[in-house]
Amino acid sequence: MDVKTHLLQMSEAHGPSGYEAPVRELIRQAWQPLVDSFDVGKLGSLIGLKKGSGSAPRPTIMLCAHMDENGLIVRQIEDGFLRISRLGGPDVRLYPGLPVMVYGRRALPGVVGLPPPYAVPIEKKPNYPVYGDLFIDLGLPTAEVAELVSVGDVITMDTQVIALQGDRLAGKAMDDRACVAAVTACLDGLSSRKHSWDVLAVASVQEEVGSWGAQTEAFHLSPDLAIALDVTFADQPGMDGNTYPLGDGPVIGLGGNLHPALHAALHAAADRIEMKLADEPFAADTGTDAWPIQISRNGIPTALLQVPLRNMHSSVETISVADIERTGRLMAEFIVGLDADFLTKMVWDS
Amino acid sequence: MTDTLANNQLEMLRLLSQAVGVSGAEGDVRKLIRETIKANLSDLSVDTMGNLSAVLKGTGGSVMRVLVSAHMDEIGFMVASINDNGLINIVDVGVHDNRYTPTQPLLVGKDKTPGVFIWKPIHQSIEQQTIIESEDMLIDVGASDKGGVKAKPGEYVAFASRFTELSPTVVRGKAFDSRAACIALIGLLSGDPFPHDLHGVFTTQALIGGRGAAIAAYRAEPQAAFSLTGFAANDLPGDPSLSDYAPIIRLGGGPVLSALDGRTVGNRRLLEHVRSVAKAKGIPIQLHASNDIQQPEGSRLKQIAAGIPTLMIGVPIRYMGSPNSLMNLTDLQSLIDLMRESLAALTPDVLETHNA
Repeated sequence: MDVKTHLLQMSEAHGPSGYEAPVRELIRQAWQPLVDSFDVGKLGSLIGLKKGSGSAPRPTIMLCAHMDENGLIVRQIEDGFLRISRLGGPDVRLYPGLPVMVYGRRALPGVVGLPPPYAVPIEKKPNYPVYGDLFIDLGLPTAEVAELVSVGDVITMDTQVIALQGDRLAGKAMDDRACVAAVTACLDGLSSRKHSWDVLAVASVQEEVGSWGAQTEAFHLSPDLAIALDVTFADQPGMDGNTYPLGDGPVIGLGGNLHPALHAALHAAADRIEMKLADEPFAADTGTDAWPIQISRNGIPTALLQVPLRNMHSSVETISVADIERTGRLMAEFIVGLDADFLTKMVWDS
Repeated sequence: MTDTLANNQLEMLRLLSQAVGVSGAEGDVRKLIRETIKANLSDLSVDTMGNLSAVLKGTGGSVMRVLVSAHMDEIGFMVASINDNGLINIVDVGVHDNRYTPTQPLLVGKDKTPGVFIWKPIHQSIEQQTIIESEDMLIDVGASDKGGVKAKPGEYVAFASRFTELSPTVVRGKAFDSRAACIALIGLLSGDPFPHDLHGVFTTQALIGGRGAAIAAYRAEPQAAFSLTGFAANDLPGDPSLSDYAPIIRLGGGPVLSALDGRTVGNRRLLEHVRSVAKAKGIPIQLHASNDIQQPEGSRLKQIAAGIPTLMIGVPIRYMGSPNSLMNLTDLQSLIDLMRESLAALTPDVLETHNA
């Protein structure tokens, strides 16, 4: 399986929070040969079931990576220009001059504009720009815009993936489709190996607006274990706190949001295949799907695996393909090692 | 006259817009233009500044020499140094509007290696939310160390923008101020001759001081010059309470004649001539009189030798500092039509009429 091509296609597909259908269909195609059945959750998350070889009823592990991306939404139409609200948490500073696609009655390419610099007293603005300063220009007459666009239409970045040197890719929505690709790589790895547990691969919706897909699928699927997957900050100048090198493997979360025994078991799996696995401590909320999954129903032991990424929440989020492949390999190794008794060893502390 | 640009001109605009030609390294653009015009024009030359000059011989009806310039260069960056971690420090070439810079794809160095800027993510810098300056940005080409970067200090970095048609008349892309002007000049040089010789010059380094035009004009010794370029359209939403808010230049409003650009006063006789031609031919025009930005080439041309009557004329462009600016193709076609008619009607007495 070609992880790079798979990720490139997903990055360039459009699926902001609540509007994930085009990405879901791409993922469904990629998972089709790797899973036994599909389900789609009530909020739109895609679930692929890969059955284990153990005797029924089999325990289940959920692998959860979100497929939605940060976007914008039309707030108001002003003389043919579109005023916007944010859909998720994109960095407003990165929007000016960006090509965008507006999903009106048809897909309309445009650009994010600002008034000319001399018409903006920038020196008087400690925070500039803010969303209220931006507008979208479709280059169309006012009447045509009124006919084609409505308040509430969604907008995505219209950018292509840039292949950098080595195995690095820069593009939009690598957060978190790089991790969807890691789940695909795991399913691919499991296709030639025996595992006794059922695997529930989940491409969740609406993470960027509150992890709603993960929360509802954790309840719906009620797995015995869960691994949430998201991106973390890669090394780059000017960063405070923990950052991780691109290309040096996945990073595992550590802290109250994450089950200590599951964390230890993943480390043990990494040791078995001599893979580096760095720890990232979280004081409380990891800001990922792991947060709601952990307290679903009567509690789900949850781990967090992360792929390092530069320029988070931009159109040039940069990842190393090797990190994705390694994350997939680590999960496959862990799942192969799961036996019928594993859950009995899952104690918070001993 | 036609309303829209011919298909081959649109394709050439696409090629030129996407070509790399940062001020001081315009070779790719020059080559493209040269290949296009060499079949029809025998008298092509490249001077010591890299300007490409062509002469369209007159029919003999006039002994005037008229220069029309179109600049080939675009803003970009230069590699200043390479860090041990493989990240590249840059300096600006030309004047940038950094509001538009951080997420633009880049082509780095002679090999045009794809690159992106890196900066501190919003999660850690939202409280200092402000414009990111070039000196705070580094370029990532995917190298892990200094040895992994092919580009050397002194090589150029250009924006990589996809030319996109938003509608049948509006296009999105970069470098329209120079490359649309080049399309217009190619159009003038490719048509029927004028009564006078037309010295067409595709100039270099316009955006770092009108440097190329300086020697091109000195060499051509014209009696009049037209500098083709782009002007910032400001028909945009804004704060009406600001004095500079009132829209002056509109996208789709027709070619722009510059009465004043910074400290460059457009030659009044040329301006009145073009204006009366526009009126007679029914071509819409807009007048630009602004202190906000100065484009150096027009200023340079007028002060060459003992002085050359010069008029800057161009297309309106929205978001001119952005690598994804917008231009209206009808404006460009009108610019070509207006220039053709104005040159055809240009006689020595136009310059001698003291009506201004």
